[in-house]
Amino acid sequence: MTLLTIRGLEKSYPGKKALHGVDLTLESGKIIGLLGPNTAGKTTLLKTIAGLLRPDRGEIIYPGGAVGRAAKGTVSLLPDISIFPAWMRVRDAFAYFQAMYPDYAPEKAKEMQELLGLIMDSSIHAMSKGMQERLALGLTFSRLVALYLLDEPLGGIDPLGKHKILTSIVSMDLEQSSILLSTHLVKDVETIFDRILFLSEGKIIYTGTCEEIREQQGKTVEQVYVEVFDHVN
Amino acid sequence: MLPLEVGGFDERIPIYRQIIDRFSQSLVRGTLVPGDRIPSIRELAIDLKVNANTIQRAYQEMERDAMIYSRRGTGYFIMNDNELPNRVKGAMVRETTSRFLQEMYALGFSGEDILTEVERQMRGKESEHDTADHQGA
Amino acid sequence: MLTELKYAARPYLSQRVIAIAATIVLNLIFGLCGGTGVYGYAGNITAVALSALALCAVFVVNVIADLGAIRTLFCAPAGYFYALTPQPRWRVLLSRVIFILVWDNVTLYIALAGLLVQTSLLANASAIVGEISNSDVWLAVLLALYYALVLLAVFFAAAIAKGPLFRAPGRGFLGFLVFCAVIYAHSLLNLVLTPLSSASHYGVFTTITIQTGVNAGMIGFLILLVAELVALFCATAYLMERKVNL
Repeated sequence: MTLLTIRGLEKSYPGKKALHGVDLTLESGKIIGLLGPNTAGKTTLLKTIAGLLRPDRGEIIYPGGAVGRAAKGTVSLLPDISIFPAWMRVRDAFAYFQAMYPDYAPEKAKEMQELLGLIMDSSIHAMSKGMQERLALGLTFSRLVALYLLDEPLGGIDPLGKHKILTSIVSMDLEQSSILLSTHLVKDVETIFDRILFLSEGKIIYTGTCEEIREQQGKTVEQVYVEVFDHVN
Repeated sequence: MLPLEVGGFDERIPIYRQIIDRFSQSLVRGTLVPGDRIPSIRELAIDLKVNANTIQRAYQEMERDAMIYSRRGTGYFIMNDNELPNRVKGAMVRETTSRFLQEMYALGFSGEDILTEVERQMRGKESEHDTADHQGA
Repeated sequence: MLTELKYAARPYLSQRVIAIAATIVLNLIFGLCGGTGVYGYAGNITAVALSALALCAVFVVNVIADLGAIRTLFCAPAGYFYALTPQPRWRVLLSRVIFILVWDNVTLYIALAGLLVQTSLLANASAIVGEISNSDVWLAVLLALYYALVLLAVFFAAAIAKGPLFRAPGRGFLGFLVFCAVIYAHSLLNLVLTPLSSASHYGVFTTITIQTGVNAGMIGFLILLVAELVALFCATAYLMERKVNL
């Protein structure tokens, strides 16, 4: 089932064009990797899908054809920056999420808290980057939506944090949903993707199914990445 | 306790096949026996940190090969077939040997070279075994 | 919504406490000065000047609190929540405006409440004010302009400094100017309509109250409140519609 369709998406910032006409289709029940170097436009693409940014051109067709504010109810974004004030505790963050999002599911939240090892009384300012990322992911996954957008969930995280984050990602029951995960660290996540998209300078330049790549080319996704991006430069 | 080797997948080879291989290895070693309950798709995905769809594909193939079966509500089990371990062993021997021969031929060895070396090493390993047995006794 | 407001308000608690304390103190200062002015206006320009400065300080404090609140609601990181929530537009607009009104205009309300009390008291004391001359009215207008200039100077200084508190949501100096203009317009309205600081102001409104029987201070307060609401709704709605890059 097609979840998301994007056609000709363009987005510019003053002095820079970030997305040069992105076309992609996402199907349900999959974990899809958005791979590319840091300046490729991954964050811009995810933010645009989430509705934080408005595209200059192109269209995004959301799950179930939702539009406007309702479309925001179909996606849950894990941003690349910390969005919680330092004074909050973990329980405050969950309470705030519950107040802000009608699709918040307390049972899912509890499950995530256990999987990610979150302690309700910890204060955010005292938490390491890895712990903060785990909290942010737990909150993102506490919402019952069609599309989860994770922006660099593994950047600069300690091994235990990475382990718990990857575990919780593969634990998601993705019947009607999908996860789109952006990263530039390919090695850590090879086994968790169904499909990958390579984004280079605001355009999708390659897409493939991971197991097919292995079957047909006998290469790792990282090897294909290096080849493809080497060609670009 | 997961009766399977965890982590260290070769990412150049389809993961689902490696998962099936690991089940085969466990059957051959005897760490899994016919009738044993195996983890659900989701449980295994979490333990191995592998996409659940990949696990599902592996399970589907194993079901097709009559290695495992599923009972709704209870989970997945190794087929209650006492011949299964031998069957799997046989397939594994064939496949491992085939791969070995392919590699050796690719390196340029003749059949005679291969047989000679194999016999030499096997004799060596047997005497190691005997020594170990004597020491044990 | 209560949870939202509770958590959104929390970071500005200390600033708000300071703002409220400052307002009370300043209110006392200009109240006293104003009162003195009413009873012995002629030549008491010091009292008038002091209360004018005090009033200015109150509004600067208020504006800083407003800007901080608006920045919280629109900019990263907290602004993400309002931008990402699927709650309907009117609801988001309402919670943002309520947040600003309730939490960050407490200082303003205290100042206005002070005015209300003083005007009522003065209106009830029958034997007070003498004739209102033209020079009184001119003085009131000049004082309003003076406050306006001070506020404008504050805005431009902030814009030039581009400090985090004053950085407008979104990019572009134009956006910032429009934003400032809306806030400034409503503050100006405050100043023109609210007879807070000078003796002549008290005189004018008190006279009106005595002569017409209608509490001019109260009316001024209500007009002010409506103007504030309108300005805030417009500013917030504008910022929500704009292509804001967080």
